[in-house]
Amino acid sequence: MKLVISLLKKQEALFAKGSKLERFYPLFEALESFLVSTKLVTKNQTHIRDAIDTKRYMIIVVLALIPCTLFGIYNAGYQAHLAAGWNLDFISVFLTGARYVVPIILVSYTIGGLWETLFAVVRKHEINEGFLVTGLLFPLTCPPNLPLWQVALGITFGVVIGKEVFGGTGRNFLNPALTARAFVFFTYPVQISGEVWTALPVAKEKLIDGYSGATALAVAAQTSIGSNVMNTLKEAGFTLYKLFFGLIPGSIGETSVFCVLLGAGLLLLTKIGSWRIMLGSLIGAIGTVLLFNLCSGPDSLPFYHIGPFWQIYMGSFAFATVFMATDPVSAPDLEESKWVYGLLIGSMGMIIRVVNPAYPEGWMLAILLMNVFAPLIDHIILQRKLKKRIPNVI
Amino acid sequence: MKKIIVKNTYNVKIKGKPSLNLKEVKDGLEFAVMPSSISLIKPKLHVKEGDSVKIGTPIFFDKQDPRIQFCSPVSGKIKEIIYGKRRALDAVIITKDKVEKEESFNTYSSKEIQKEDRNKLVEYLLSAGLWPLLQAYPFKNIPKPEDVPPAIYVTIDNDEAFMPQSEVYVKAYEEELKLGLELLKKIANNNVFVGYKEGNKEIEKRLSGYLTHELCGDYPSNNPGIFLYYNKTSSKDNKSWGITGLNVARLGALCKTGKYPIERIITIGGPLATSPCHIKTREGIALSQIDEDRKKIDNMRYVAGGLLTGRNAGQKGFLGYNEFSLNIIQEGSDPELLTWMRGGLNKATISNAYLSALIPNTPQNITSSLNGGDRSCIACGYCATVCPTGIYPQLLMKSIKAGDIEESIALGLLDYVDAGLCTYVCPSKIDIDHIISEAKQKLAREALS
Repeated sequence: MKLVISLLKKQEALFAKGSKLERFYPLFEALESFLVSTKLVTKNQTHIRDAIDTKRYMIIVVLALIPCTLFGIYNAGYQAHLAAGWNLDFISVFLTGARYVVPIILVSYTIGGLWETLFAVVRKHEINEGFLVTGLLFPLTCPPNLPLWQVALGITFGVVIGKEVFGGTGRNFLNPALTARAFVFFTYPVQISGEVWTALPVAKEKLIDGYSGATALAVAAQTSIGSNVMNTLKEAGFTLYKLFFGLIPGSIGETSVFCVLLGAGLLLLTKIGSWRIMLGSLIGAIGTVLLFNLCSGPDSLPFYHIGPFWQIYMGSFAFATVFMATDPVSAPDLEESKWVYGLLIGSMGMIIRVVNPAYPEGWMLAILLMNVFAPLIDHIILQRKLKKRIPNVI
Repeated sequence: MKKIIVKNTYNVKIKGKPSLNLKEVKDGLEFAVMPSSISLIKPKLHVKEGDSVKIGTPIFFDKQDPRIQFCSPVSGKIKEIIYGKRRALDAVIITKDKVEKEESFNTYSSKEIQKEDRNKLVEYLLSAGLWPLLQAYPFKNIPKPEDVPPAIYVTIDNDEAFMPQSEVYVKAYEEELKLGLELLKKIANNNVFVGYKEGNKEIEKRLSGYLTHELCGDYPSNNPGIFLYYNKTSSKDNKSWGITGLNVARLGALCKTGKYPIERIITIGGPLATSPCHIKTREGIALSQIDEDRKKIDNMRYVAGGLLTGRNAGQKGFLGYNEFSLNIIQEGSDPELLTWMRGGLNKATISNAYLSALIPNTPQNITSSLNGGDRSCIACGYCATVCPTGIYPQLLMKSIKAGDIEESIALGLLDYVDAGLCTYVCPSKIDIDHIISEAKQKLAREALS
């Protein structure tokens, strides 16, 4: 430890004001504050500070994402082996998965990190650890065989347009990870919609018979009107049990509701994620599904018939609710608005999923839309609250 | 007795809480009067270097209202006048005489106070230099002598880390407190509200008949400003005055003895205090006198006043006019590797992000370290969870930064009480209190002139 500290001290002179590498101080600062605790002290009337900082805050989110990431790696390999008809032993499956997923995560972190550093150096602010979350969230929402150059372009757009042009983490109004995904989704729809959810290790002709890369959502959307959609799902292999544990095709991190719940547990225990948003979104989604079920007739789209349990286990509802909607920066500030925000995300996402099967999934759009509306929700609720105050003016 | 439940309060969990023992310390030779420790005044001296002063001799006054003056807490010779930045009067150092002489003022018994004319009592406090103990809301400035407040709010207990406990000082100054409260009743035409900490049986017994409200909650529920916020019924009440019990006892001591009250009970606390306890001492004393048997560490910070609202007095500093504690913390923390991935059983935090959340009632060590780097607000909302006046500090801070004073006032700028909690909890290490206080002071200078 002493070695690290003395080494840092020696290097600090290189980056001090007036020296050659002054411009790269943010880089040094990032490394230093990553390794050892800060030297900064309080200046004004409040002499002590709480031990929590944004680093800890963001690291907790990264920790919460680890079950999803590990499972995502395994699942990507599992689906590939399944499609190719290879053996399913744990290690080889995991290695295959890692071959697809790790490069995506690495590219996301490196390219996004470069942009983050570039802006920090030019704008002379510190490198923000919020990127550690964005850089992991984005790959987890991608299909495992997304071309790496698209990953790089996506994270570039997410970091630069979604965040840095507004001044960096804390000043953005859109969720940067979803901004990145939306960019890829609308620019290269071929690679991120349709039957792309399994990374295929062999040529199409060599796949085993009966392989279908369709997700549960696709199966449900393609069910013909009048047939029992839940049975169709079960026949296609999507039992509730399987949907919950997540050994199904899908985006890297989203498939396992179980792993998402593990992460949600950590976020709720540490109070880093807002339970109001999560619960609001859940209630909104279930409410909307029940409404659809109620309104559905024999000749309505099959999606209308799917019950709430199936709906919240399918697709990326859980992942989006727990990790995407709860991003504090793009969510509203007030506790009451968080309820409204969550409810609207839940119901909006479900509407997009059910009514418009042209989109594979609704949560990205629902959350980005509500990101834009978050300040408005805050404004309306704040004005109501301010009316109740006894005015204190000069 | 009415009960006020104060929402969104929090006690910081740190080591060094003073025991209830009362200790006395020696005086020392040098004392100081510190105009810089009083906000919103423009001090001008009555004396020059070399002058002899008695206890109670006016030393300086406020240029904006010469009736508001401050007296010497010691009898002796003016040794040095220290100016700070831009020649602002910082401190007046006085060397103590061997035999101290005192100015004498009238004495009042509680019956005499009731019979006396209100204006005479105001003048009495002005001449003895104790009028500035009153603070007029919303700006916490020294009230104009001709004003009559809608009410005066008194809080007996102090819940900041760490301030004198009512168990100790009320016992010592029971009579003075009662006299002081009588005096305030006269000044505020009987509109005096006295609050104390919920369940404080000892105070209930000693001050029965004077207490009006029970204040429930952690820090800062026993702050007069919070008390006012929860008790006000119309916007007229916003201009009420506030004072703490410790200062009321000083008013009473003047009435009782007819002398400028120099004695006070303070605490020494904080993680670096060797034996945190209560101390009987006097105004203007050198802080090094109070902390006789201190730990021998170079980088200590002496905070005069509470750790969340105090003044960095320096190890050679003095105890100011309105300061009742000395808290000692380490300046900066020892370097620690990879703090962000440690379990953190030894971290003082309001969050659940460290393992110390499992042992919430264990006092932790704390230093003056920021514990993190400066970042932008990430809207985590911790500040709003510790704001008892229903303000959203993050929104208020942003509207101040945007320069929108109208919106800031609508968001509750004038209800804001500088408790320091929102700064304490901020993970982005934004000095929210400082930003809001500065905006409020700037507004005060415009509004009061």
